Amino acid sequence: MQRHTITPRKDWEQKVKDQGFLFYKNESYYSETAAYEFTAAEVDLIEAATADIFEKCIAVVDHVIKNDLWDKFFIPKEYVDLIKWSWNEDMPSFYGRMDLAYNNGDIKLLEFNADTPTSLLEASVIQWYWLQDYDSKLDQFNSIHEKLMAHMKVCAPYFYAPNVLTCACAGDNLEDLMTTKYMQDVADQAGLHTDFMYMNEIGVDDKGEFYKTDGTALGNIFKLYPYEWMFHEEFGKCMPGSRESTMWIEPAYKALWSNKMLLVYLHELFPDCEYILPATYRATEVVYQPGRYVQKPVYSREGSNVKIVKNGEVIEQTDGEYGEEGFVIQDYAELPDFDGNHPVIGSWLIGGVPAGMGIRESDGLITNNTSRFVPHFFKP
Amino acid sequence: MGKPQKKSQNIVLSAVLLAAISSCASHNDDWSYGKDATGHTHDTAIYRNGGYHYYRYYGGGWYLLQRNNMINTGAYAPAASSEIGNPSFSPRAASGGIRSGGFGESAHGASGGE
Repeated sequence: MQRHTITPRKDWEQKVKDQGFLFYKNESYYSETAAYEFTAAEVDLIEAATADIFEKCIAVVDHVIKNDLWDKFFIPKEYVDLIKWSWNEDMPSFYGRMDLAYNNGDIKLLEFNADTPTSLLEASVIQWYWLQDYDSKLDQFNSIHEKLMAHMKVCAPYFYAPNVLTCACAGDNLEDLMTTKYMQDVADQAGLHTDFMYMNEIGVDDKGEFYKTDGTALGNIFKLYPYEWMFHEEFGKCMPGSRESTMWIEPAYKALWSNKMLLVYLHELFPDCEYILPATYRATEVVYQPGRYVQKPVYSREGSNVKIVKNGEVIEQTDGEYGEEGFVIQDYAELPDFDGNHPVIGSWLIGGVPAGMGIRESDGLITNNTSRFVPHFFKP
Repeated sequence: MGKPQKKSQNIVLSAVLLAAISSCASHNDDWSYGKDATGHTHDTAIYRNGGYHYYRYYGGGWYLLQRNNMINTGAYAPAASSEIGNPSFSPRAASGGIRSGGFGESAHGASGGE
């Protein structure tokens, strides 16, 4: 893995905007001044690790269901049956992204963004078009677009009536909107009937059935909106009762994988796995613990409330409003340091199959919403 | 014969995304930092339903403050001070769009992505 300083394309800003990357300026998220090079063998390693970790994540869900560990994952009781049902029925799932530390062939899972992963458009489309201009003979671990389209075609026959996929996200956030619109675009190209609405436009009738603003039934919905929010909002309580009439994608069992407690149980079940870092749960912040570790809230988003500690001294931390449910204490995984740039690999799964990667780098050690997206390539 | 490539063979973006790009690109013109004549901003935080909601005063009313530290004067109608402190307050769309509101409250303008 090498980091190269590159010259941006002359018209790169217009190009990425024309491809839907309208949020590239947010906190200098993308500037096209660097790219990462991998060897084909390194890409194979990352792909194999992603598949292996995914198999272990499946085992964790089975373990949670078998042992009724819902309280450990802070899942409200009224949603337990819905999660179990979505798992047992193997309800359709489109995608997920594992964040991996990669350092000289050593791969560690940092977390699994299984419910509402973003940086999708950048990984799937933007870096692909960049490579076409940079050197189209090079290869890239990125068949996200075509795998997504193919997988949606596989899922479509299982959709509920009316056979329409509604794509939805919260309002007021351009990144979420464009990511959701990209998903809708791919679904449209896959031959699905699609439409779009904002989450706060979703309606419910007096029987607890969901409907759209035009009064038609909400049959199938891809939502870029996390279960941990939905479970605590007014309409969340209607999801279990309407599970046979409204299909939510991602499915409800993703509430377990996107939860940081996943890391604790991955370690408990697979303590010798080379990809899994030791992790434990603490109800309150750690006062002192020797060695280096990362403290993450059970529920947190975009790197908020994360703290990196070495022998009791805080090396780096981010603020935020999370931590009410307690913390996961995960061993620290050393990130590579390229002149102060620390990359984390976002390894994408489409329908449970490794499909590509996107890289985000930070000045510090915590990847958050100010981290930069950087394209990658490898020589075939 | 070499190994198959690991990149998509082709990517075409179709009408759905292009329409969104066109819509949002023009919509971007409505995004503003909401600074006053002296170049300052005036923000307030309202605690409601377990979280803080941030608003910025601009042009005679309060707008929901977005994660990019900007407000969207095209999407929302300005709210009065008495409105934003009301527990049942939800920002009104400038165009009068439907807001059922049973989902969406947790976002507070933040990304639902991770």
